[in-house]
Amino acid sequence: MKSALRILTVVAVLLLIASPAMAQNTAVAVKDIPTTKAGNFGPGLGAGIGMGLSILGAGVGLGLIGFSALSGIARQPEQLNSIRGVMILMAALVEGSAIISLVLCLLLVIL
Amino acid sequence: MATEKIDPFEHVEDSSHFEFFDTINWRLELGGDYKFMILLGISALLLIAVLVPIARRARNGQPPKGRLWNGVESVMEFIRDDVARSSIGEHDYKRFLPFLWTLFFFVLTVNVLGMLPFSASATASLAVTAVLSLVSFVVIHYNGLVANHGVAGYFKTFVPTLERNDAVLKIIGPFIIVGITALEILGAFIRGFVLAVRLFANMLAGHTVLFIMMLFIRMVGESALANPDGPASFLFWPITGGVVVLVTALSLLELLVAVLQAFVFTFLTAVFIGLALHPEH
Repeated sequence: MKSALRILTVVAVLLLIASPAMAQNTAVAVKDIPTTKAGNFGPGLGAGIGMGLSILGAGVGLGLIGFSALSGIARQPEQLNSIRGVMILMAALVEGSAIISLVLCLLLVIL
Repeated sequence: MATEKIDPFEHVEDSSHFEFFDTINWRLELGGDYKFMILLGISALLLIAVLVPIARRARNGQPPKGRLWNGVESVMEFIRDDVARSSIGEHDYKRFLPFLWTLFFFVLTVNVLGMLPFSASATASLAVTAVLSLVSFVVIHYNGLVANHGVAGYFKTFVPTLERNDAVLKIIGPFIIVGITALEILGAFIRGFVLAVRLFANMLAGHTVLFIMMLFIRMVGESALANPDGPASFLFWPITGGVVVLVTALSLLELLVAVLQAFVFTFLTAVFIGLALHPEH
């Protein structure tokens, strides 16, 4: 009885949310990258410098993570698995920030 | 060079067709911008088709038999021990396990489905990841409100405690407390936003890089066809070989990133749930 009520609630919420979703406009636009026009090199320059700086930060951050992980493994080789797990997690977080910055810089050129 | 403008995000973002081969115009037209909706639906059906029979067999608590059941149970055990129990604590972690398992398996399936040829990751759209992050946000703060006895109690967990020992701190103490409280509350919203953008940016950037590398083959090919005596004709096969090897290596990295980002999303949700239930002060 309780599971039937839960399923009914989920279906009702889905149906309520679906109606605005189906009213999306179906414009199929042919995408066109706006090239930076002559003399307007600002967005491109900003994007390039931003991407370079963010990759620099990512490289330094990942290098530090690798350094500390390797020295930890060298000191205590029996902790290899837990150190490796934490290292991968930290690397994903640092890499994530760098990639967020990369995508936002790319938006400067595209939009 | 390419004769028409090429959009680097064309195959990575939502569109109204499934495109198989562009040059022979073999594509599957949908009614509107439904590509990601269909991919999300396929992921959900795939998960139900795989996990529900396993859940039915595991219902009685018997040990798993067979590779699929063992595999799924080992993944679920990993999330139970290293993610939920360590982040949320011994006392409360069991309530959140179904949610965390669903989140992890769903994001994993959607990400990995994008590695198949001709399909895309639906999480490469900010809309999809924003909804996932919104669900996590609601779970985190609703449980924070319940565990800390209401809005006033939960608000108090954002307020830092300062030991006002010396005279300077007595004067500027209130300003520091107000500032840090505002920063903590803003931080809660920013964490939710960054959770969405991290997953979105990783998936978008990975697939865009793969697509642009494969675009080099087309660019060299079109240049070689345009002037057959130019340098592009003898560069075509080396560049194609190099690009294929590089794209294969990058696809393996992209597979690792897909799995890793699903894990990071789930792990951060668990950490924030733990922080909301057991605030540090």
